Amino acid sequence: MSAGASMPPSPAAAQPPGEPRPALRLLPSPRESRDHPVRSSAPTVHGDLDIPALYRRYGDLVLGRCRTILRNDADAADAMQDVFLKLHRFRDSFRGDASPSTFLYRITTTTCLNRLRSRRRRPEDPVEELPPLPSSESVLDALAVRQLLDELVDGADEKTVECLVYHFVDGMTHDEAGEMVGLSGAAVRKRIATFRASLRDNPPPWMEDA
Amino acid sequence: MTHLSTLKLHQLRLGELPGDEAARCQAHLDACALCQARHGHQAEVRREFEAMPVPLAIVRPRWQRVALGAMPLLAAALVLFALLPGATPPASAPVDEAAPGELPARVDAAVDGDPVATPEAVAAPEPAAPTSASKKPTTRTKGASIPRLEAWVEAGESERPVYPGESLGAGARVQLRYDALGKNFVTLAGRDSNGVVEVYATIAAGARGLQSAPFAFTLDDSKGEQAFFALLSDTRLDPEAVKTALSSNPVRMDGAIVTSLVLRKD
Repeated sequence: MSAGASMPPSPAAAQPPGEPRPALRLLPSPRESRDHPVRSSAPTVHGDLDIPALYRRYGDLVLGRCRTILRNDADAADAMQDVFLKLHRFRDSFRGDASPSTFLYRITTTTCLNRLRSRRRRPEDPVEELPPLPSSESVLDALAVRQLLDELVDGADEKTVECLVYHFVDGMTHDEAGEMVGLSGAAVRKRIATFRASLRDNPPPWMEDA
Repeated sequence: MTHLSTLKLHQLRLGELPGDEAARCQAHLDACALCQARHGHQAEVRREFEAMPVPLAIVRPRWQRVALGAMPLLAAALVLFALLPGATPPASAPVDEAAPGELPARVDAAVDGDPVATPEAVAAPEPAAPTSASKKPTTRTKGASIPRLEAWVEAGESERPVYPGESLGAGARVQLRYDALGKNFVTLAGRDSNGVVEVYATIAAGARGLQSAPFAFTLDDSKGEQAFFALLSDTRLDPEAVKTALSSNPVRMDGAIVTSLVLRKD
């Protein structure tokens, strides 16, 4: 018998007498329970990232993220594919201790914000003409997201834009946003405060929370 | 407590938060209308995502896409060779015929880089014998559904899907992951190579998407093939009825979608 002998009785133990012993008995492990969910790590194949497995598990996370930032279904689907194809390039930056969802979320944010910048530079495809998607996973309403990404962040540096997006659009705390961009929570707070002060007009009410 | 961040909502759904944090987030979610709406939106996106075909660029690594792109040229070269005077026809390639009781190999999980172990998502009735992906790698054709039952095995400090054809040894810890497809209950059961059926648990299904079973299995030292079943249903199934259904051949279970996979243990 394996190490499973010391474990609690398995369902097989309830087998009525007289029935043949299962050829392969499976012993539920006490290490997994609702209190101790299975730790998820990036699916890997032979030491490399398993892109199809990541796609199956996190594709919707990436798609939703792309839609929130890009606000266009076609662009979002394209960006989602781009994110997964980029994973090989980013695999060295994947830290074993980071959850794959965090890792993907960060890559997706960077990818989408880059797309947004290049889209803004293309006058033939103005962002302003894109209809906002009806609902969102953001804590901000769609109009506020649009206002932030299309009007307010012009001139802000890339890292500050990421801080603004993580904090206002995603509802992360300063510390959480700091972990995403590699800054301290205090540094994120300072960047956001500086940005708000730089706005010529009165900052929008949803930015008061900074 | 401020609202849950979008990422936290995803991680809560995916079961990636530690126990205490998950409980705290769940308590907030239960009480917050805005976060519930955002959570519902994420579930909608998940449904849409599952209906989307998997892009070929994701499924196949780059070298395979290049190789496939060269196939027409290779075919043309073979035709040309066959038409040359004095050329002998090439020997027939062996035909991969499915043995009686087995499903013919379809998507090549190994070729596609898909490590999922032999999942066969089927609506009852099921194939006559447990489809052994451990014997033949299953393939997923473009547009086919994503597997609804996966087996993962602990590998060092992490976990990985069980590979097609892989045999597991004694002591291996196996975790099942299933997608309830919007049904209310998931009944997990197993059938060993002697045909003995065990019903492990009936679980109230959570959010849509792949969910980890709330327990794992440690394989003991006996040998043989083990089939796992996830029965997705709107009402709680009677364990005895499940046992009867899974003991029959083919498997029939009214009111349930039956998904299965087979593991081999040497």
